[in-house]
Amino acid sequence: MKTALTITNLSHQYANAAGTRAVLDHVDLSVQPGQMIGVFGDSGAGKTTLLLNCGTMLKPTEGDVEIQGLPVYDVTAGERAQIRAHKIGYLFQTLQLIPYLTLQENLRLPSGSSVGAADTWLDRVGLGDWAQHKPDALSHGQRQRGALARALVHQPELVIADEPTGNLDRKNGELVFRVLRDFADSGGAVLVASHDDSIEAYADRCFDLQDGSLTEKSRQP
Amino acid sequence: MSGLGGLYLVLIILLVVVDFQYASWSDIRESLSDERVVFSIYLSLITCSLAAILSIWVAVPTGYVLARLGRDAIQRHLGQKPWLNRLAQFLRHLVDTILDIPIVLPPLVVGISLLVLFQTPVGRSIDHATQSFFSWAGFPGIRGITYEIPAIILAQFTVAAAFAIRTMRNTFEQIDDRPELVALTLGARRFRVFHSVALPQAWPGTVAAFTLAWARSLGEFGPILIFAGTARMKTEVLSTTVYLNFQFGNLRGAVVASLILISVAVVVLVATRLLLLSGQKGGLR
Amino acid sequence: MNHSRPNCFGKRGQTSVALIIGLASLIAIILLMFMALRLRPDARRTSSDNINIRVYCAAGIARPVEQLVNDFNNLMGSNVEIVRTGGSGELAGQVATEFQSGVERGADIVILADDLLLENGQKEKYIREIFPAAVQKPVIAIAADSDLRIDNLADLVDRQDIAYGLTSKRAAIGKLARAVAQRDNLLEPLEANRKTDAENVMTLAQALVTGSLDAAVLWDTTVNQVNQASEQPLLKVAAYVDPRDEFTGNVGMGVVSTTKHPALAIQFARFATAPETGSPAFGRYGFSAQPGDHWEEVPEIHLFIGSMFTPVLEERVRRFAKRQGVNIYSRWEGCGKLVASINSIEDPELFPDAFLACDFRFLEQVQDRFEAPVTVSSNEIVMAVQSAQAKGIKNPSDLLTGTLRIGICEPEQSALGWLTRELLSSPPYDGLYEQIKNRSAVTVDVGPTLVSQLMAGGLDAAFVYRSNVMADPQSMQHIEIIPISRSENSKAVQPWAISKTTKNPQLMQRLLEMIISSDTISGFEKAGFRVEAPLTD
Repeated sequence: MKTALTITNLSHQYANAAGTRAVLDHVDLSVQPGQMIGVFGDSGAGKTTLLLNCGTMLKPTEGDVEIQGLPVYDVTAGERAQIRAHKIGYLFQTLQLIPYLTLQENLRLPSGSSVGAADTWLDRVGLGDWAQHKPDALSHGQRQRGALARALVHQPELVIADEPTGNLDRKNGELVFRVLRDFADSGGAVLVASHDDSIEAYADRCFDLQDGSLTEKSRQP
Repeated sequence: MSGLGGLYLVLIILLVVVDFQYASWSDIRESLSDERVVFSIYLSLITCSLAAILSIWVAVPTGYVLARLGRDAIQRHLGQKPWLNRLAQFLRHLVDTILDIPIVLPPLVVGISLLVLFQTPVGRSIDHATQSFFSWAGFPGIRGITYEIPAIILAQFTVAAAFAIRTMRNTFEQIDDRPELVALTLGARRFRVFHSVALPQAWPGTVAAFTLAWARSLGEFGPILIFAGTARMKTEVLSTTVYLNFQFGNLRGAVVASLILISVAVVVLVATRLLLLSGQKGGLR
Repeated sequence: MNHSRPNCFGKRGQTSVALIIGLASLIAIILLMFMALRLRPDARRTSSDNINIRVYCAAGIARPVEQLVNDFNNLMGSNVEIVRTGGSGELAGQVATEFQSGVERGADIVILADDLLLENGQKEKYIREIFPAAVQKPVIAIAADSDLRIDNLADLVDRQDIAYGLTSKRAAIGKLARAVAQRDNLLEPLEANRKTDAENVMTLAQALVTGSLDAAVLWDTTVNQVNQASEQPLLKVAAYVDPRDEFTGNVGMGVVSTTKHPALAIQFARFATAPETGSPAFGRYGFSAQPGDHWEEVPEIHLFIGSMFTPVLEERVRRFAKRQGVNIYSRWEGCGKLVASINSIEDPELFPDAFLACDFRFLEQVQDRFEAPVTVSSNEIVMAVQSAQAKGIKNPSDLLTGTLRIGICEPEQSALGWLTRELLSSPPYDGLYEQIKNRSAVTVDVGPTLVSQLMAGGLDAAFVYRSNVMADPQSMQHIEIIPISRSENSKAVQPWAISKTTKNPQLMQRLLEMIISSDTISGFEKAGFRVEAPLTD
C-alpha cells in the first residue's frame, strides 16, 4: 500500500518587510494508511503552515510533499484542486462552513457527494436530524462535527484536521477523535494538529513542533 | 431627499391619471373586445416572456464571469506580469463597453442594424434555416426571422439582454465571493461553485433582471418597427398598437392602448415578483 | 457576510434544482413559441400560396387601402397584405434601406402621401413604376368646437393671437403650404408666426385635439381621418390653404423595383387606382381619387412597332409584358404595312394602343387617330457596301460607276424605302433615285432583308439604316458603312404615339417610359440609333 503522505526536507519561510522568518526547518514526516498522527505545538509554532503545506494549499519554500507518491507541487493548480477534492479531507480551524447552505449541501459541495453519503456521515457525527439546517442554527460543537463530516464524506485517502477539538467540551472532543480514529482504522490516513493532550489516547504517533523541527514524543504509559 | 422621490412618484401618477382624461374604463372594455388589441396583448406577453427568459440565460453566466473577473481578480492572477495584467484590464473594459452598446444605441439603429445583419450571407442562411424549421414544424406561413415574430423576440432580446447582464453583474459583485473561494479551495469545480454557491445567492437579483428585461421588452418599439414591421395580426405588439393608433389619428385609441400596456406591465411585474420571491419569506425551513 | 440571506433552492440538493429551473425555462420557451404560432392563423398556411404582396402604406391613407386590399384579395384570391404603416418619409426611408441592404422580403408596393418621395425613389432606383392614386388638399384646420374665423392663409398669418402649427419643409404638406405662401407673398410671416414645425402632420392634428394649438395646416384627409376615429367630430376645416387648387398633395403607389412578384403587385396597383374599383374607396374617405386605367384583370395591348426596332425592343417589350402582367400583341413590320393596317382595321379591339413608327411621315398619315407624338430616336440612312467593293465609294453616285449589284427598299412598304427615295430625289442628289432604282438588283420590304442578302453575297451595296447593319455583329466584319451626311433627308425620326381610343393610357405611358429609360437607351445606341427623347430613369 502506498504511503498516504510523505514530506521530505520541508522548509517554509514567511517574507515580510523585516526580512524572512523561518517557520519550518527541514522537516520530514510520513503518514501511512491506517495511521493517525498527532502534531503538538504552541500557537504560532507553525502547525497550520505545516498542515496547509500538506493540504496542497501552500507551496513550501523548500522540500517535497507527496500524496500517494505524487509530488503535488509539480502538477497544475487544477490537478491540485482535484487532489483536494478527492484525496484529501481538510478540517479548517475556522471550519469554513458556507453559512447560507444547509449542512447537507455543505457536505455535498466540494466533490459532489451523494445525498445518501452526506446523510450517512451526518448520522455518524450525530447530526442526522440537522441535515437541513444551516450552520447558524447549530451550536459550535455541532458546527465542528459538521465540518468534520464534510472532511470525511468523500472518503479521502488523507484527512488533515487543524485543531479539531478547539473550544469543544470534553464529550464533543472525544467524539471527534473517536471518529478520526475509526476513519484511520478503516484504512485512512489522519494528520491532526492539536494542543489537546487527549489525542494521545487515539493517535499512533505524536510529534512536537518546536523551533521549526518535529520531535517524536515518547508514549506515556 | 424623500421629497424629490415623492415628486417623481407624483409625476408618474399624474402621467397615468391624465391619460384617463382621454379614455374611460368603457373605452378599455371596448378595446378588449377588439381581436386586434387582444392579439397584440397576447403577442406582447409571449414575446416579452421569451425575450426575458433568453436574456436571463445569457445574463446569468455573463454577469457572473464579469463580476468574478473584476479588477482585483485579474490583479490577483496576473499581478506579477504588469503588461499582461494591463492588457487583461483593458480587454475587460472593452467587453464591458461592448455589452453596453445596446443600451446606448438609438432604437432605430438597433432595428436597422438587425435588418442589415440578416441580409448578409450568414444572416440569410439563418433566416432560411429558420423558415425551413417552421415549415418542418408545421407552420409554413412563418417565413423566417425578418418581418416575422422571431424578429420581435430578437429585437427585444438584443436590448433587454444588455440590461439583464448589467443587473446580474451588479448582483454577483455584491455577493461575497469568500464562500466560493472556500469551495474552490476544498477542490470544488468552478461550475459547481457557480450553481451551488453563487447562484442561490443571486436569486433575488435574477428575478430583478428578469423583470427588468421583461419590462424593457414590453416597451421596445423602434427596432420592432424596422425589423419586424407593423403588420396587423402578425407582428403587432402593444407598443406598435399605440403608435399605429396615433398615426391613424386615433388619439383615444392610442391612449387606451397605452393604459392597457401600463396595466399589463403592472400586473405581470407584481405577479412575477410575488411568485418568484415568495419562497424567501418563510426562509424555507 | 449576510447570514440571513435566504436560500431558495430546495431540499433536493443543488444540482437538480438548477437543472429543473433550466429545463423549466426551456420548456417555457417551447411552449411560448408554440403559443405565439397558434396566435397566427396564417402560420399554418401551406407554402403553395407563399406568394404574397407586401404593402407599406402611409398611415393617413391606410383606411381606403385596407379596404382595397380586402376587395382585391376577395376578387383575385390573392394574398396582398399591409405589413407596415407609418409616416410617408419613414416608409420611404425603410424601402431605401431595404433596397440598399438587399432585404429579401421587403416591400413590394409602397403607398405614400407624397409623390415627391416616390419620384425620388424612382431616381434612386428603388421604385420602378408610380401609380398616381388620389389628391389631398392642404387646409387650415381648427378644433370642431372652436369659433375662430379664419378665411384664408392671410388671416391665419395676420392674427397674432392664433397659435398655429405647420409641419417642417421635409413633410409634403409643409412644402406645399410654403409654396402657396411664397406665391401669395406670405412666406415670411408664415414662417415667423408659426408655433411649431412638427415633422408629422398627425402630431399637429393631435396637438389641435388636445388644445395645444388653435389652428394647424393639415390635409383635408387628416381632418376626416381624425373625425372618423372618434364618435363626434373633433376637427373642422376653417379654410383651404390654396383655394385655386394649384398646389395639391398627391398620393401615389410605387412598385418596388426589386419585387419578386411585379405582375401581382402591379395588378394590385392597377386595381387600386382604377376608376371602377379604386376611386370609390378613396372617395369614401374624403380623398379626390385620381383614376388610372380601367380595371381589367389582364389588359390586352396591341402594339405596332416598326421593324427597325426589333433588335432593340423585342425582348424588352416581352419583359415589360411579363413584369406588368399584361398581354401584349405586337406587330413588328415595315411601317408602310403598319399604316395600311391601321387604316383598314375595323374591329376597335384590334386597333393598336400605341404606334412606334419608323419615321414621322408614317405617323402623319394616321395622326388623327393618335395623341400628340413623342420623339423617341432617329436613325441614319447609310450605304452598306461589301468590304471588298467599298474602295472609292464616298457618295451615292459612286455606286453607279461599276457593275455593283444594288439593293433598295420598296418606298410604299417601308420608311426606309420611302426615305431612300426622298434622299435620292432631293438636293444634292436630285435625280439619282431613278438611276439607282434602274440599276438595283432587288427591291425588298425591309432593311434587314437587304443586310442578309449582302451577307449572303447576293448584293454588293444597299441603302439601309445604320441600325440594320449594327443589329448583327457578324455583319460588321463583311460590310462597310458609308454615311450619307450631306442631306437633311438622310435621317429617319421615330415618334411614339398613343391611340386616342386606348383603354390603357397609363399602361402605355409606362411602356413609353420603359422605352426611353436609360437602360433601354444604351441598347438603342449600341444598335446604331440616336436617342432624341429626354431620358427617364
